Amino acid sequence: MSGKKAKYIFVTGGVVSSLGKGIASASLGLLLKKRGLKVNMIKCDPYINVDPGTMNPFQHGEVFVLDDGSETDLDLGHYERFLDQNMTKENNITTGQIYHTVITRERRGDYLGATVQVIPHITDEIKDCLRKVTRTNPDTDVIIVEIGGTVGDIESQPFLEAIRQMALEGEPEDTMFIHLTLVPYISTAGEVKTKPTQHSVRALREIGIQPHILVCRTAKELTDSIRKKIGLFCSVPAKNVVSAVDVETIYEVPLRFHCEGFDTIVCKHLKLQVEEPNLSDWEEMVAKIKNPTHRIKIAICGKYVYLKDAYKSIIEAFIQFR
Amino acid sequence: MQCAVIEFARNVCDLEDAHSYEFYADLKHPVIHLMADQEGVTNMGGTMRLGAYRAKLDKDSNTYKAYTTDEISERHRHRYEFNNAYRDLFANKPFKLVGLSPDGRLVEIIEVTDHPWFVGVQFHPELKSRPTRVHPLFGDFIAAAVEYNLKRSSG
Repeated sequence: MSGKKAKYIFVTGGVVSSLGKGIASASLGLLLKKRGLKVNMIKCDPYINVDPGTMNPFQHGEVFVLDDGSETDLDLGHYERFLDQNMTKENNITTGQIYHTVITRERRGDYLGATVQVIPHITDEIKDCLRKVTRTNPDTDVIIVEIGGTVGDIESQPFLEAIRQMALEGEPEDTMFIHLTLVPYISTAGEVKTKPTQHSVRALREIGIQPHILVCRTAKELTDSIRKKIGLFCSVPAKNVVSAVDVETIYEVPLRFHCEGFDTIVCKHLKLQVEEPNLSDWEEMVAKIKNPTHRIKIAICGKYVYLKDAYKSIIEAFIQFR
Repeated sequence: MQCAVIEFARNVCDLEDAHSYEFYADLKHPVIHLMADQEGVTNMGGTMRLGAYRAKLDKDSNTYKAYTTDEISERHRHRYEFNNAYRDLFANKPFKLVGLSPDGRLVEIIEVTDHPWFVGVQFHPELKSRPTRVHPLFGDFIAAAVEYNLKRSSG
């Protein structure tokens, strides 16, 4: 079975980590799913560990375990919760796994005497892992690939190179790049600053990736003049500069994104003919989360309670509606 | 669940030095011990009991009331387990093993029966909870807490 050709959306991050790339990716995934598309998600983690199973929760946060027993990044928890869809080991790729495969293959003699290099051997293996998901799920319409870390990290370079190549190998409407960045408010100057975003997009463009959409984490909605300025310096149309403002609950993010027209821009770029998403159940859920009818105190005891991310899923499990 | 078992053994069953083999190898009462198939495992990466496993529930329990089914599947990540040598000791106490692996050998869920809602699990129910489909144990725990809270503030 040949299957239809899945479109790829690549999400990168700049300026600082912890901007909420996982939640932004999962929110976009939800919006596309609510439009009737078959969506899948992949998290690329540039660290050398094969999986996060041996990593300290204080540094890395929770290890999210899947049905198939793989130990994965906590972003897969966001994917499962937002999309209400089970992930498998194919949905989390690490540098450790990629090198493990390539070195095993080299020892077996598969490369027939070639010098094994980052380009093309490592990047080919990354591309193969990104495409494997469409072979397992041939009916997939869209795959959102989140690249961990921030642009400029040494470890993430092979992943960025691989996604740059993937864009060249298809039609322009087959892939798109979304860059998540920070637009900080400097209280002493009384204004928001676009320079960190400019630098981060410049770093991305230096390696050959021109983002199509900039998602700007900010305390307040960006004004039109700031959007225009960011667009001009980053070579992105002003309407493709999306504000991602701080919200009360992460489950509100998809609703805000939809108001910003984020998913509409994505569908237009990827030439996806789909209906508007029906978000009524999600809206109802967010309203209930924001207006609780009772208040109770719940204590959590644990070895790693000082880091919020270490028991992420437990905390999220308490955010619920019935 | 493991810490609940240790505390119960110490404070209700009077096994003062009850502990887990994970913390001390030389124990008089290792109420939590290493799973048999973990003996001799030296590699730490990906070698725990991982992923989805089924369990059978006792119908006379808060856990069953939450799930409303007697066969469940939950995600696991552990190397240590309830020590079956202590099953009899807990049997005469307000303590019940309400969830076991289908072959009956692994303790998956315990309840303290003289408490309004006390459930300890060997697995990670939070990993299967979704905001739109809350996990039964989290849902019922909150419901029990709200009920207790209302009773306390009205009484």
